[in-house]
Amino acid sequence: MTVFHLWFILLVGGVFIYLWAKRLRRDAWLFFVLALMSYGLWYGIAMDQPFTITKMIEQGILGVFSVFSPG
Amino acid sequence: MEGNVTIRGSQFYFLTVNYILGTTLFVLIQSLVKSAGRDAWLIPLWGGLCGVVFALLWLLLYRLHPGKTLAQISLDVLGRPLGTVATVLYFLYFTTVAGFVLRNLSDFLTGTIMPETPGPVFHIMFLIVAGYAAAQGVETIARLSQLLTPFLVFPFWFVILLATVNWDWVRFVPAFQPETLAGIFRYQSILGYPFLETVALFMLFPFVGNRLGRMLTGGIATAAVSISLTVFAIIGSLGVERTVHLNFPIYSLVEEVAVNDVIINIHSVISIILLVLIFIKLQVLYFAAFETLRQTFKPRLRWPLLLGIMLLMAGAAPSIIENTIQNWEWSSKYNFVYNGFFGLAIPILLLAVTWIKAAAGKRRQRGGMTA
Amino acid sequence: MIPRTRKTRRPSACLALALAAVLLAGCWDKAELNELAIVTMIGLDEDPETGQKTVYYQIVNPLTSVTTSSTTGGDQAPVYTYKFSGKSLGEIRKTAYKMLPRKLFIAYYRAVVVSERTARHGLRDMVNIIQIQPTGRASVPVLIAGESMEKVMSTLTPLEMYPGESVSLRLNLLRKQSMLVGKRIAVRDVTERMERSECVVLPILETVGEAPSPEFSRMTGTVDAGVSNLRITGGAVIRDYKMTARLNDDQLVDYFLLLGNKGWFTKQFMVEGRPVTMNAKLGRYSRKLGETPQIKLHLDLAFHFAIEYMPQSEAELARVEREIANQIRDELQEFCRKAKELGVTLPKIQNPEDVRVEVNAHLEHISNLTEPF
Repeated sequence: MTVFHLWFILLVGGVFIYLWAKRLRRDAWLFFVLALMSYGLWYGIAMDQPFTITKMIEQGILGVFSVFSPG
Repeated sequence: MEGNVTIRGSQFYFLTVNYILGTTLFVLIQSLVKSAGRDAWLIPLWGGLCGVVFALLWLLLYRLHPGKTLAQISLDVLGRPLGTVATVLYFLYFTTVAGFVLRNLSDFLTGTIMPETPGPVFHIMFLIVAGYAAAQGVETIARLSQLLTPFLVFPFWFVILLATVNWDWVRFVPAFQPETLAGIFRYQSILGYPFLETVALFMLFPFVGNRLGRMLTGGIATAAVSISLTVFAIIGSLGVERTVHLNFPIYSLVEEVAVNDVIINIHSVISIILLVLIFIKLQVLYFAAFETLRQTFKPRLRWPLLLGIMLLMAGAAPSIIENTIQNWEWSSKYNFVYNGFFGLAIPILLLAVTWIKAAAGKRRQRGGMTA
Repeated sequence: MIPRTRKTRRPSACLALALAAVLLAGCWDKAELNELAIVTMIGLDEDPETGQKTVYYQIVNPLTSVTTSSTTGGDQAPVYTYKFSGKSLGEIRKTAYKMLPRKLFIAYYRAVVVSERTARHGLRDMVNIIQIQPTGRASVPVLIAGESMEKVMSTLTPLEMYPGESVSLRLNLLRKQSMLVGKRIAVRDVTERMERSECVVLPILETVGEAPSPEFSRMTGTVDAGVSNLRITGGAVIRDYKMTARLNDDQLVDYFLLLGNKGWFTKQFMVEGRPVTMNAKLGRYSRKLGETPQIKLHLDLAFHFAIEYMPQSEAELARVEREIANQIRDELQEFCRKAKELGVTLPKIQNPEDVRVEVNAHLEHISNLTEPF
């Protein structure tokens, strides 16, 4: 876990600081958002209990269907 | 960027074929045969037919917005806020498809030849190479695909031909029974995977010349026929009874090939071919995801975006499914719905809005003239 | 003073080099390769009544051809076992040359075998004699001989020419593929664990078949690998430098799982009345120490050898996973309860019987079949 956080924060932090220092704010935020999403996924992987994306999609689809289905 | 024709028609044709073939040769075959038995080779054919129809839909949308990619069309038609939502959704879609591709790849490699290697190692290595190629641009991807195609086609069919030494027509008899035919049309996830995933190629449309339509539909048809022939060869050489029990029938088929007991163990050839097809599919998805975000948010530098996408895809791959059993269940239920949303629903929405806007514009013009 | 001109530079350089060469030669301690007796395995035995110590050195026979792959070639054994007895281990070393024509070179040895009676008496001597020598290499594994030392040290092994090498390679494979051998089985681990008042579990070495007679040196024409072979079996629990108990295969796997060793192990489970052979590996291991210590195990399951039955739906799979996890948990909990009895300790945990074990199992690896025929 610590190793994961170490490399992740070093990598993301490093790139983000570099972009911010170069005054490329939009690039920095875009990268940050992507990194944030991937952090959520990687955290699960590091915990050995990956967050299953297809299960989330299934919930989404069922949710949408239940809204549209009659009664 | 707009209308920069850099890919030749033939290059796009091969790219389409290789993209669609992608992972199908080792992921799809088992479930096709399980569903329709001896007539399973018909499934890719009707799937391909529908795939061509879907492609015509996309081509129609493209004709109304020539020289624009899917992302740009969404932004134009739906406006900045809604269009951004649509492109971000497409980005996530391309990422999840890439996750599927990578996961199928690592499951295949760890299940057959490299059981001790952890999955993320494969994911990251493939992503680095695919990302590098995609970063070079569309020309590189297309040219690479064209260059590699003869090295894929000839060894693949040669090895399949070697395997037909075990052929038996009895394995197809009786053919075209009503129950199996019903099973063919019940298998609607073929529409989702692989044919609706081809919407990713929409991001490359502006780079192809005026033979886009013919090349795209031709490529889809060729891929469908290729898959169908492969399934046919597998049923004839392995038989339905065995195929249904094997996880990777094509790998097992090739493993059993022995030419005069001298040339054996040539399944590594098939493994390499399948790996290269996956690279091509991954490159296209990577490029599509990258371009989608780049055209929406217009960052100055490219490499941070590429790195961020690589991180996300590498994280998506181990997370996309729990295991193969959960994957089968999810695929059979939701594959068509999920891919249909991105391959059909949104393009139809874009078409509809385009026509509505065009009609409204004409009415305003007429109104202005008569007033 | 020698003038430092161009003319004198080269000769002075040569002189300096020549002097260095003379001094670097190490004349006093030099040893040619053919003057060395290269030891591949060491055996230690002590008679508890008389206190007489015996050391066995298994020495490489350089006259056997290295490329001999056929069993009919070469009627010389690949190793010679020398046996020396004496009052103390140090004395033995010095009087070894009554029989040995070459200088003992132990730096290359692959394993130390200690007889069971010595292990039950105490391992301090073994540990000390190895650590006291600079070339002792305490990173070498220790095995306990389950049978007479004579037999163990004069048994040859098929497939791998030197028994010491054969044993060492098997330990690696057993550790990674069967979880029947631990990571910490070297001399240094024995020392460290004993000094920490913890236990160490060492593998037991036995013979299979009949040991060859003194005349029969090489296995000629035998197909059966069990005619004359060594076998690694069971685990010896060492506490306070003394062997206290033996663990069987199941207990060994339990113990190593509780330690957090990452290796594959295979077991046939009964799930819903059906047998399923499952391959499993520790994926994630976490421990909580304190009043009620907790050990949490996350197992990766593999269908590599599940030829009896494979679940076909997600619900079925979930049931199988939960059932297997529960069975392993119960087994581990039972092992923890018996730990004190067996003399086994878990690192940094005072009372193993207080440990609460939690097990999760998930399918990670598929095999070539989706469903058995």
